[in-house]
Amino acid sequence: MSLSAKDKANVKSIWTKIQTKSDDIGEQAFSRMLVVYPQTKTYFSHWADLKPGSAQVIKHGDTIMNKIDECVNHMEDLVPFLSSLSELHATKLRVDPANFKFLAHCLLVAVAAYLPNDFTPDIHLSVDKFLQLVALALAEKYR
Amino acid sequence: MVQWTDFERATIQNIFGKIDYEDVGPAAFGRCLVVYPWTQRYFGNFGNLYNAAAIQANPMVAAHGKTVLRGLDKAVKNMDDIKATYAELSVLHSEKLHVDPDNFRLLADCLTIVVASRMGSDFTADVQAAFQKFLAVVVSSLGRQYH
Repeated sequence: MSLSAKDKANVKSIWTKIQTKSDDIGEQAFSRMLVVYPQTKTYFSHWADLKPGSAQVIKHGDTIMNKIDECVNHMEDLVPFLSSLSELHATKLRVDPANFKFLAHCLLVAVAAYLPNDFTPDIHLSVDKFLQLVALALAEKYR
Repeated sequence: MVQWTDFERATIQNIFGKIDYEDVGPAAFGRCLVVYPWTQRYFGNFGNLYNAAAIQANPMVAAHGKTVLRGLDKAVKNMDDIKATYAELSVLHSEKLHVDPDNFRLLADCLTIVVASRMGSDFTADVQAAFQKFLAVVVSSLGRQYH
């Protein structure tokens, strides 16, 4: 499932609205994932506080969201763009790629909560495809 | 048997007490047909499902969306035995309608997103967790009688 021209246009269009709340949405997506899918907390057992609103959770939500924001400008070359990050996730972090879809889902929920009128079914479809491709690119170096 | 905390019970009753079934049902079901177009395979007799606008305007889609939400209401009123509540519906979806049970999960995801858009900041992470747990039980119960 690759991105059509319409998909790319949809992603760029909703992202101009997302950018205005990027930090909030990133923080929401990541903290929701830790609450709704508690098994994902296993990767952060070295953190002091995993509750929504904690400094580390906020910071990491921002980090992830900033990278996804950049991916919007690299929809044509996600695999090379995410190459070193994929290497990191594959060899050092060893996050089971099955978890990427949980974060993606929570990001969709956060966007729906913040931008209910803009997150139409067509836009939802394109963003869902985009996030799946980001996840795939991130898993590229795993094996 | 599924264990529900007081918070989870209250949250589910609260959400379903608040949402408009006539709005959320069609919105969630229509969204599912758009975002996961292969789900359209079960609705060949629904007429025009050609694009998102057609799907959203389609009266059979709206009617079915409401049917689904009313079906969910049964589980809301019987949270302690959702499995038994859906035994017949599970047989129906398996034996008569031949629906791949993975579709239930896809619809549940769309419903979560629609409820999030209606509730905004009230749809906190804890509320989302309770809602998704409820839907997971529903999805599992609907798939239970498949063989």
